[in-house]
Amino acid sequence: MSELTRADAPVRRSDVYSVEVDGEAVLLQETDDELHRLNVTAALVWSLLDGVTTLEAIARDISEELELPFARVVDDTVHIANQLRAQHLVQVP
Amino acid sequence: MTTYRALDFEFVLQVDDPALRDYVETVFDALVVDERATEVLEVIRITATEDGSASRYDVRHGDAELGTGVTAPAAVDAIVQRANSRCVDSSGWLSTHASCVSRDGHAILFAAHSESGKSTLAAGLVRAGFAYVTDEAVAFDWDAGCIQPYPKPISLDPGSWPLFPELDPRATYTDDAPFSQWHVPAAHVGPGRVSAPCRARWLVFPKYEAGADTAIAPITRGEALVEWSKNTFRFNEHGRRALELLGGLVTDVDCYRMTVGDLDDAVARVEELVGA
Repeated sequence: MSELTRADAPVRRSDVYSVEVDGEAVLLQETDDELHRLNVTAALVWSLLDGVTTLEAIARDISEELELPFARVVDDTVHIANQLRAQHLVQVP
Repeated sequence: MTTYRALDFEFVLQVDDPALRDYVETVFDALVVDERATEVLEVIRITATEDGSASRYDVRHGDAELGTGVTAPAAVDAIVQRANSRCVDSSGWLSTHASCVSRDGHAILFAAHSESGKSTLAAGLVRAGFAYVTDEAVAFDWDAGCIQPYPKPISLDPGSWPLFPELDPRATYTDDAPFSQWHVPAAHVGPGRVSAPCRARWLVFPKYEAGADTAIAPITRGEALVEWSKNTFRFNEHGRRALELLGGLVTDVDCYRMTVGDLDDAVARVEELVGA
């Protein structure tokens, strides 16, 4: 499985149910009943993974909204997306 | 005939031995209800064992054998375990493995696996005047997340007995058989009555550590929600419905992790928490 890049547009898996709490997210992977907790940053990225918007575009939105350096945000976004994919929480359409 | 109710589980007790019957009725007194809500009459029977062994009993619930040739304390253990299992298996509630007390309608949950000290903590808080909810299963209704008390007898392991010498059941029920647990009605523990239905306000994850300093520290609601879910009976079976309910409830709850090294210190910390 190749690593996701900023050009990819992963999507949240339909068998993952999420609850947002104080900016964090708790995810239930229903196929194996695993629970995952995402910190505020990861939860924000998670919420934007719609299968259409690229990671680069997501990073740009976050960068502009939070007034953070784009280069750092896009690296973090790609890293988070890869972690979510490794845990079978997102997929590439 | 006295009817007992443990959440949805209604049952009557038939005990042949008069002394044991008095003891059992005292232990389960907080579960007595005035009227039955169901038509089905479930009977738990304690009868002298058929081979005539002295102070040995058979315990049956319908066709199920809960104990054969057991001692009186073990017979009570069997009834408590039966009630517990019926409560957590009920689909009418989402039940968390926790003890719970309340004050002014606000519940404090102590969610943890077995032998984390949650029953001891509940007993200490009831002794301090809190209202008793349960020491085993905190039941939330699916619609509003309101807590329905399950005021079973508080089950104390031997390690806690020195903290509550006044609760020794051998003072009132004389039987030479050893106890594996003391099952104590909350009314014997302290002035706190049995709680009315209430809502979760504080969620604490306790852990007993002998000799440790008692300390309490806040955790995020996200961290608490994961741990709460893991301490909820049949969570996987309910899946997203359970996570949705707990996720809604946790937003109204302050969440903490507590190390308990001393019961009195722990009670004082909880008093501070509730009073803050």
